[in-house]
Amino acid sequence: MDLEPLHLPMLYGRLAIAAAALTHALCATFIVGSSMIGAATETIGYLTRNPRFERLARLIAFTLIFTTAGVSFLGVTLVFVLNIFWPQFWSTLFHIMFWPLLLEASFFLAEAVFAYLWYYSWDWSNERPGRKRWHLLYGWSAAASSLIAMLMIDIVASYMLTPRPPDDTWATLLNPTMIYLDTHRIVGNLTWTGFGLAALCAVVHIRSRTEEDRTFYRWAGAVCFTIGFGALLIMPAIGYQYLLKVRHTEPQAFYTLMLGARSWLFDLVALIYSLLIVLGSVYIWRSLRPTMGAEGTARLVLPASLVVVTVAGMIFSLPYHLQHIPGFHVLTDQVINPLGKMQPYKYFAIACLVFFGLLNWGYFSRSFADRLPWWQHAAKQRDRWSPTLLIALSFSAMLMMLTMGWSRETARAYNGYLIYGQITLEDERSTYDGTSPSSLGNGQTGRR
Amino acid sequence: MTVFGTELEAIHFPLVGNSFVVGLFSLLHILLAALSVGFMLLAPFLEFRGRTNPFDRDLALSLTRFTVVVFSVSTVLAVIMVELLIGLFPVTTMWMWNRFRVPILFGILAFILQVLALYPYYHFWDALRRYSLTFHTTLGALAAFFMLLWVLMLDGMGSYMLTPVDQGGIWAPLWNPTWLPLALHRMGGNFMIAGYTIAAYGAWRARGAEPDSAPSYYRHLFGTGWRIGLGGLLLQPFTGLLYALFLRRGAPGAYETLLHGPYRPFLYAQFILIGLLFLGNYLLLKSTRTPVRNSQWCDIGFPVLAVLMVLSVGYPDIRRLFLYALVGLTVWSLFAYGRSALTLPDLSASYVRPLALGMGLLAIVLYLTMGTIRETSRRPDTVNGKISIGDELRQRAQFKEALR
Repeated sequence: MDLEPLHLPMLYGRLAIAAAALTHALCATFIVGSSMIGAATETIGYLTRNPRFERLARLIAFTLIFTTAGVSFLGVTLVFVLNIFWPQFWSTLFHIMFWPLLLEASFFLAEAVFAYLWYYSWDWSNERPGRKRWHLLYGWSAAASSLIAMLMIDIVASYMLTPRPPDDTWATLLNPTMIYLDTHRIVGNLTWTGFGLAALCAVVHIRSRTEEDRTFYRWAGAVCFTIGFGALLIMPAIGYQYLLKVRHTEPQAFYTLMLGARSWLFDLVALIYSLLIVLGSVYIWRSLRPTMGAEGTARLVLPASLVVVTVAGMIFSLPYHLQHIPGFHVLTDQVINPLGKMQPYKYFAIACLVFFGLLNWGYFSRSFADRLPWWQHAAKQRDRWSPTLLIALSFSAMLMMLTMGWSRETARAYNGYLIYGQITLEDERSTYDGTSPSSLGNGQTGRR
Repeated sequence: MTVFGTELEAIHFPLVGNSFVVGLFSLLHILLAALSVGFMLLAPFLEFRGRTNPFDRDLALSLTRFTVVVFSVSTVLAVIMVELLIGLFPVTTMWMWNRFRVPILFGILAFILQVLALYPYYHFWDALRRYSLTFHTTLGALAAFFMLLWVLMLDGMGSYMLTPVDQGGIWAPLWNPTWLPLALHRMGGNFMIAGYTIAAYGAWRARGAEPDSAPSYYRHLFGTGWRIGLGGLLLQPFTGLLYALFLRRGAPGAYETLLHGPYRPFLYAQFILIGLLFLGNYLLLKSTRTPVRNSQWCDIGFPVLAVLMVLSVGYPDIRRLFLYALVGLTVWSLFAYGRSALTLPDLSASYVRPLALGMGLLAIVLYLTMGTIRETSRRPDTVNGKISIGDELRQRAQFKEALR
């Protein structure tokens, strides 16, 4: 059964798939993060009898409903464009990954059901005390379902970079980078969602008309920021392990990303990561400054820490292979920047970023227990800079998520592979120009 | 770089088999999608009527809420259905999507626009109504319009699998012989199940809510839903005839299979359900206790005609005669019992509420049976005269061979 050639440049298909996949991934990761944060927030509110947490959880549930609807539509779009633009690859991958993909969709269905149940039964759950536990169960069920759905899709994504023989089910499912990608994504989701929710609170804070609302959204933004910033500090350790595994399993892909033609993408990730730490530290400093006592250590430590992370961030973002940065040849003929070496400069820089970031985070977390917390302080009432910083952090986190996803994909695609070592982009050429037989019954695996 | 020389086993869905599991998820998706389409088409119309009747305004909001709430679930069920199709029927799926690539991309655009209209329509209901009632109603109508475009594209794919066309440009597959008849027939069906479901819900919630003499929201729901459902049901025999005529011309083999093939019991089931629905409507009319002359003829006429229609399923011309007689008798009884029977229905009779609930269920089962009949009429082909289940099996063998 022959397929009609599309008569389009292959680039169109790649762009359509990349656009659909990246927007879908952004929403999907937000769902995983927000369902976990939302369920945890409601539980804390229930245990501590603090109505602020309850209100924040409800806000998160509302965003979850919106993103669930968005992601289901984007998921359909992604499946559509994959079917149309890469049918040979998609049918092969589907044949190998049928069960994980089916389970992913099934658990997402469960997430949607529980998320809607969670949001729409809120008033019902507050009518009688006994109902609240059921309500918490809905929230945690939504979180667990979304997490399992993500684990399933990670099996597919990691398999594409480090495949194992398809007839060995367990080796395929537990392929070398699967666990590392999972862990990296879970923490990454908390980072992006934490900052994303903080930005949402910042926007509502700016638009709030009553003092009570402004105080609440300043607090809510800070809580979400604490989650996002805390998770951000864990990411380098997990990312390092993940990259080590890629290096041992597919060295060519590792080289492409770290030293090769796409190393500029990794430099971009480093730049955005540094920016997140620096902006987060500025936010902490600005937030705590009005309530710092003359005798407290924060007055001295936070500004010094800010200087250190700024310098460390600049070093961490320095490129090593200058000519791999698009357009850089216009500025210089120099090939290598010795300061951009991982060992020792960048390792030292990232250690500083994490250590001093952790120090700032510790001061910020402790401030929630103060007798007159900074978010209730009168001088903060008209502050527009702190919400703006939260929005900038969210934008940077989103950019980092997209760049990281792109880096992983390009490590394969730059070497011409859709499934590493098994299916190439060229195997799809017949779908576009019909130059070679494009037949579904013609062995579309492109085995090398 | 790792190189694998591996054989892949064909995927066989355990316990229930490939066709059953695809059918199950398709029906689940279709059920929610059909209700959503019907509700979304009704919502702006009811909102417009709500300018004078607050019950209609509240009903419009409830219908939109249902659509929004089930939207994600219905979409994910569609994703599961598509994933099952790709995994279990790859040849058919890839070929169909290749043929329909342009309408699909157009459909995606309509889908985006629909979401952009639907979500503000629901989530900013009060705020937008305060700003401008006309703007808000227009937004709802736009959401319904874009949903309709998407539905038309899917109807194109469904009808093409039964009456495919070979020639023409990128839009030609959509313009296959049974596309518009199927779209019309389904639209009537959407209104029918939407109406009877609203009526069933209204009857269920009206229980003990208010005395039967007073107008209440749920009685209003029951009456409105019943009118809509009955309207859809009365249209179905005419759109069905149109569809059958085009199907007989476009795919005579499938039409014969439908009438005399191994899946004929489905056709009997369909006409039993239709007969029961007509009978149920008459019982609801009778419950108004309006004195009608010669009503004993209806008491005999409805069951007799329904039985004769079912008995003559294999003879389409005779069957249609009885079906249209049922339509005629229903229209006559509507006039005989008067307008008040529909506008202010009586829920006091003990059997009315279970009957309304049963009719809601019957309408849903009827809608799903009709879809199943269309799918089974082309078996063993998956695309009539183009791809068969055998091709799918051969594809698996070649696939395996290629990997060896």
